[in-house]
Amino acid sequence: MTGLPAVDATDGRSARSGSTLNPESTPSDVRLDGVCKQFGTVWALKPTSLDIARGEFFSLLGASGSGKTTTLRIIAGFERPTAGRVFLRERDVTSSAPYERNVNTVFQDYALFPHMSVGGNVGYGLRVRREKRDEIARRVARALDLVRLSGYEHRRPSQLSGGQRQRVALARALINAPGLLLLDEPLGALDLKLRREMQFELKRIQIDVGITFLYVTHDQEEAMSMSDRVAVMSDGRIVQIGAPTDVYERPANAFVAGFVGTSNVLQGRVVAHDASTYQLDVPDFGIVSVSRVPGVTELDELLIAIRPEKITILVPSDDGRIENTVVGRIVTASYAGAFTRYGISVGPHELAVVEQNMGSGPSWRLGEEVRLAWSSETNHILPGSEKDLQHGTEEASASGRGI
Amino acid sequence: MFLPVATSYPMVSYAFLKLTDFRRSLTRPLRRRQSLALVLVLGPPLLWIVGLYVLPLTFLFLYSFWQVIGFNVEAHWTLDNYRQIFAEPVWLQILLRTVVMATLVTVSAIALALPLAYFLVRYTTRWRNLLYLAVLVPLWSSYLVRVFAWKTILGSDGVLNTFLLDAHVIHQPVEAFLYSNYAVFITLLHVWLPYMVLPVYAAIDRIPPSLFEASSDLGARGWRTMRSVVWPLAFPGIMAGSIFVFSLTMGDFITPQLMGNGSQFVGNVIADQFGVAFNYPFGAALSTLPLVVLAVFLTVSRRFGALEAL
Repeated sequence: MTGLPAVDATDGRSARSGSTLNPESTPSDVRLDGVCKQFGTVWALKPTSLDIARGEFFSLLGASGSGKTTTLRIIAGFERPTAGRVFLRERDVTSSAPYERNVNTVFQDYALFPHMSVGGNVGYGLRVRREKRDEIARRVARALDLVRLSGYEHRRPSQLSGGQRQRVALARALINAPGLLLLDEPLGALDLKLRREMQFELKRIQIDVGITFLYVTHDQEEAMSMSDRVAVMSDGRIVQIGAPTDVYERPANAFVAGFVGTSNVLQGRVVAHDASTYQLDVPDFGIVSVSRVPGVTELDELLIAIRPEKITILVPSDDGRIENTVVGRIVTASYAGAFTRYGISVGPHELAVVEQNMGSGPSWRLGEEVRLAWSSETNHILPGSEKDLQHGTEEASASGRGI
Repeated sequence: MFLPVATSYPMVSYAFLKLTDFRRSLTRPLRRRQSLALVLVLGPPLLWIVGLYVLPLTFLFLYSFWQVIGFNVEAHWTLDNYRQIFAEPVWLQILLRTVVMATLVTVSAIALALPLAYFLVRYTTRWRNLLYLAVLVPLWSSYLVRVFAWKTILGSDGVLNTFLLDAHVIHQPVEAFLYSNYAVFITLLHVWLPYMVLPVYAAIDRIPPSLFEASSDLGARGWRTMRSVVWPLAFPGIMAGSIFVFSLTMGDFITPQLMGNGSQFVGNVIADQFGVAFNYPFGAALSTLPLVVLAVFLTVSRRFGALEAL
């Protein structure tokens, strides 16, 4: 593991989360207590503790090999943890079989039974529990209605599109009214447009049925747009838990800043401070003022992150009347419809800046000299080193998508 | 190696060119007419099938309508051979006994192979290839060796009797272990079991593991998963194995001879007609009986898509 300062995932972060659900006041649906998993000599999951509140949409976000799927499989009962305890609704289920847990799973490959019709698949859980036939038929119809597949009872899974199979898998899990629904990269096999649609659909269904969702994904956008809380995972441990805004606006360390979205990171020396800010001297850049954060005391070297969309581009003569300004030159511009991504060089540094296209097309030309301005509150002090940041950026690009 | 020589000597390279030309001229008709190529490719196996399989079977079938006059088989057309089969109940009893034995061996092979294959697929990783090999290895040894191996186990001085005597369970060797229909059953089951395990293993191996997990996730215990997921998805493989085991048992005549108590099976009586009685026409008529049974069995299997799994 890299030299990250320990982040107490359970306590410090969740208390700060701006989630609509407060884990302290709601009964916990899932509790992991020091759960870990070792395959041979490899730690798939290092000792992890986690609390998920009832009714919460909770995401595990991380690159492949970060331990997120292992966590899900331990909760589902497909893997026995090497140590630690798993509680579902305060019941210790650590050594229970999957069929003894009030949990259902939507598998990455959907795992629909190819020899059964859609109705047969959806009703499987009820048939196993020996419900009455007309009761099963009624509930299958209702579950298919919930996922908008009414009238598909007699089709075979092989006759359905990827998106439809996904919905069948969802209906098959939800019909059992589980206390917790586990979703293992359920949208991974769908194309981008369908994935967007299904995100809304999943969120709608989750609010409809009010079941706790534990969602595993490597896709930041999915995790951000649907979740009440997100746990960012790396190297078999949780590096930050919080509401999407927490994780994005206040990354707990350089790794998260690099993994979730894009960050401009500057390193500088504290040369002055007052009650509310530090003055940071960034070599070949200038003086940057940063809001003080509780917990960070007198430090010589600081790493700070600024999100690209927090920076305003102005003409050089405009001082912006904002704490931080610096003059640079546009070196790259990539137009993306709603916004344009600029690369702006300031001495040896290159900053990423995103600007909404309010007029027609990009407002700035390549080579143009501009002034950048941003407020000191949007600067965020990062614990950890630049190496962690790189690690995060690499994992984000390895997992394919970024914001 | 030859190429530098060829290029340094114009004559040689010329000859080389001629050779390619020659080759081309040989294959030209093939390229021009694909049907000729098809005949050349499919001809030998077709000849093999027709000459060594279809023709002998046809002759066998024709023989069943001929008769023995004096010591010679003569092509006097008659249905007497078939009449004889249905006139004496003993022949149909033998057929019934054979079918019952074949069914028992097949069903038992399924009962043993299914859990074994399931276990191999789901619960072994490191030992998997070794265990799979353990299933395969008996196939590489002679059939007779495997049959005689059971003689040494079940015989009166055999392993089983010696063990039971030493354990004071019995006081005299039990002769009935050997030379009984049980011995025939056990031997046939052992000898043909790999033919069931292999296709069943292949079928279960093709089932995505997430289906087992999904079944368990939806509340099903092991038995339910076996019945609702493994059995239907492995069924083509089970049928494929059943065809092997059933037909091999139907045709076997050596095991009943070596292990049996003298009860006749279809294979024995056919062998006797050909080898002892020299009544080829009657033997041929008897041979059609298992063929009819197998034809019925195959037709039924085809219905279940088992032939695609072979």
